[in-house]
Amino acid sequence: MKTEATMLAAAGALLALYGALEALGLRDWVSVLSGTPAPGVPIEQAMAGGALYVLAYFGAVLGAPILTLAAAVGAVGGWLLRRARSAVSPLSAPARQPGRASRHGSGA
Amino acid sequence: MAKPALRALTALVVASLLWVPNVHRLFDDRAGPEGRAETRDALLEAQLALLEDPALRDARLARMRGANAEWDFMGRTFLVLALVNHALARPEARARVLPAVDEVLEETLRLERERGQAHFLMAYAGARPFLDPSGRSVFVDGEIALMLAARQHLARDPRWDAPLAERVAQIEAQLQRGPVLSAESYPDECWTFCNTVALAAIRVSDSVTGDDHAGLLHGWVETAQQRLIDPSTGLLVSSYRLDGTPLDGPEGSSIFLAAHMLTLVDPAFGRAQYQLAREHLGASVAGFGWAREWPAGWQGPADIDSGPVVPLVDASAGASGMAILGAAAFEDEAWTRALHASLALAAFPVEEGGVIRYAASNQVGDAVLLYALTEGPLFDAVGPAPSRSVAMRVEVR
Repeated sequence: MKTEATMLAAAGALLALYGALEALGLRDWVSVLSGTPAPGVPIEQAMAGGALYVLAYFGAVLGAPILTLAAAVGAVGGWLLRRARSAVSPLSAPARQPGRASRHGSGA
Repeated sequence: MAKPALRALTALVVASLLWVPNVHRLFDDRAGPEGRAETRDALLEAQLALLEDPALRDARLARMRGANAEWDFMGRTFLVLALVNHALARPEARARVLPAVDEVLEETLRLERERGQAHFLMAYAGARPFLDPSGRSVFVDGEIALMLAARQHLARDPRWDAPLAERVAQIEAQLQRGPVLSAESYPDECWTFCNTVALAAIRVSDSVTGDDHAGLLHGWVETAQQRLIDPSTGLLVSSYRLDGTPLDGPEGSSIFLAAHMLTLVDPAFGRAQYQLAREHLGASVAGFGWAREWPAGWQGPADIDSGPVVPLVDASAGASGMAILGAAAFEDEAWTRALHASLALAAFPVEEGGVIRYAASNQVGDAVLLYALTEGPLFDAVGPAPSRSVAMRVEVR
């Protein structure tokens, strides 16, 4: 469960980063992509801010949902594995009654 | 690999396989016909609002001119074409649109008169003289002629008759003097983009005046088919010397518009060029579409026309923008939808107060998109030039 929790935390961090940059108004800084940097912003700053925003945006649109889904897949997969192991584990198998044949045994 | 790491990796792969093919669903509303109509209306309001706010418009144009003076000019052309289409589709909008179109025309002609055509050209236009004795750029003449012709097609006004006639005569003379019936955009540099715009301008003008330049228009196509086709793709090259020697191969930022413009001259050739461009430059994956700037084998550096190019998939912002126009013009609904999904994903729309603009774009990019979203009425009303069989033959040198 630690891995799934880490994935969820990472997804939350990506969303929070994107939300923060959006709130700071950095969406307009991606205009640097079309060669027309946001007014009043030095070009180096505009390029760095624009690139950071683009990464954060794709982190939120692609990364966060994938991490969230992966956490769910991991949790479900882990549960299924544990269930499967418990089904085949000799420690957890029901004790056989002496003298009774198993379901798969011949019993003869 | 440790088991927890392997499990995490497996979970990430499964999650990616689940999510990536479905991301487009977030943008399907915007990419479908209704969403596109909403985008069109909001873009139209944004562009008109820009015209009505000179300070804001000057600031936006100054930013674009800082990167490329051509964009200032092309933004005017695509805006005028979009406004004319809008007014043709909605006659009740004519009263609002015509003054806006006239304002753009008046200012553009004033700037050209006062500062020369170089005002709308990149700096290297002045590096050496044009080969044609007129010393003029068909990039400027062609787009001004197309704006004037479109305006006159919408509602003929005698005050624009002479400027249109002079401009068309200028272009016709330049084309006739060109060894391959083409005119220069820059010294000894002809562009398919500009020449096909000029052909469309002549055709729209003919629809207004009743003149007939079909021979010249078909002559250009015949010459282009013989001299300006890249043999590996069948696509028109993007630029060439005045004598027809290719300078570049086919480019996405040129060919989609050229194919659209050619529908007013030779619709079959225009459609064939679109289909080849779609085949060699178009791509669609997981509901998203884009266009490359160069077909395989013509790889070049990202430049002012291609815009930024996304590595690995070679998605070009400039080519993809023009592909939206091509896909709309040739009614390629599947790719139109995919391209608009990409636009909604990666162009960073900013919606406020009923208007929309794209943060990753600029005024010319938004104007191209608006034209793509309004495309149809003008070209449908004008129709192609009379067929070759009735067109006067032009002697090709």
